[in-house]
Amino acid sequence: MSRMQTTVRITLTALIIAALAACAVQPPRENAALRNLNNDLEEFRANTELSERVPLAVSDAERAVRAASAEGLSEAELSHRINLAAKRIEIARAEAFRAQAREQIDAVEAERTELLLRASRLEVEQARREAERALMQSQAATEEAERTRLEAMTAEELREEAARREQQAREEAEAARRLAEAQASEIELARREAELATEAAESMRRRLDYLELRETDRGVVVTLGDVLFASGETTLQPEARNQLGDVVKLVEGEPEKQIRIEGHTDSTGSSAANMRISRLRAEAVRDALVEEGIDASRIQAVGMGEDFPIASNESAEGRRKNRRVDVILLND
Amino acid sequence: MKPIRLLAAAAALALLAACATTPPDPAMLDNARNAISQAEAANAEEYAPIELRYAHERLQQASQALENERPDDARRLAEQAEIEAQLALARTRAALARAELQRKQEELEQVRADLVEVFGEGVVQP
Repeated sequence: MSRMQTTVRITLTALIIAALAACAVQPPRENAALRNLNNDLEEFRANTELSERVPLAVSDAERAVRAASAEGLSEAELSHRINLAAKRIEIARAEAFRAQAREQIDAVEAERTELLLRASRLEVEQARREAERALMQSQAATEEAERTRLEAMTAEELREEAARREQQAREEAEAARRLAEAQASEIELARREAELATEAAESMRRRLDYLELRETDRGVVVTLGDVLFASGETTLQPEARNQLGDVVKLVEGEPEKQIRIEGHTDSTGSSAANMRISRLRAEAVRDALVEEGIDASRIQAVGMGEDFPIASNESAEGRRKNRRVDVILLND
Repeated sequence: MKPIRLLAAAAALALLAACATTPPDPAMLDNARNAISQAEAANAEEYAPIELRYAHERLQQASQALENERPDDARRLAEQAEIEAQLALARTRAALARAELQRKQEELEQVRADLVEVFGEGVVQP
């Protein structure tokens, strides 16, 4: 080895050392953070299910790891580059997750499309089958129309019979219901008749006060006592006709006014029976007035039942007062 | 001996270049700013708020370092801000895709249930 060569070598070596010293280079030693970084990258690359979806992001990360692995970096620059490279790996991972989700979205959408397609094929097939069935049915119907006419008629008759029976059963049930109702009314009437009979004689003696007249908000009210009717009866006694003469005169004197006739009973007996009796009695009075020449269209006859007493139902005298027919000359 | 000399010189140059001070460049904050804007536009505020905040902090520090004439620090902080914003963006997009996937899966289940109701189980069997 010549002298000169030795000098050159020494100079070069000194230069390199100076340069290294000038920017405080890291000694080329194993760096734990760098090792971890490489491990991270390797791990991600090995997970091909993720890494193969994002080749660009992987190569960015590889480049960043190489930049961090360069020799001669300052402490600050080394940790900065390790930091950057670690973030690059994180970014690649996030992008891979995104790509994975997007792929699954595509698969879900494809499945949805496939399902809808299958459904529409089924729909078409169903419609076709139904059309065929309808056609076959109509053909069969045409062919067998003649042959089944008798049967069809029989069926028609059966239907009619069934309908008739149903109607009959309905009518029977209705009739039974009415009968029961009527029987109840009859019993009630008979009971009342017996009761009223005991009062009848007395009532007859008091017929003088059969007519009462008073002014009310509704109009002039003429109250006809129960003496107009025989006990339990709903037709006027023959002699009552004469006594209605006063009423006829009264309503004839006010030809513009409407007439309302209300039948009332006491509280003895069922309210349904009382309603019926009061209505029939009101109607009997109406008919009598019409017979005497009062315009029927002026008159409204209603049964009020037992709900509008004018005296106490506790005493016989009160009950007698409550059994009445009111003739009202209605105010406008 | 010429190759040895050249090699040594190259190595020295490379080392010098590696740690050479970069001249201050205000435009280097621009990349970070752009990356943050992109992340925010993708709604990172909702899906990657921590990363986004970190990126803002780094950008702020980078800006301060520039003012204090610490260009190396400024460059590194700007790069950190930029990559953090990129990470925020990537994570936001991943979250959005996952949300969309879930929505699509629910829709698919609905369609499946509707079809089964109309056509019976057969429609969902392959």
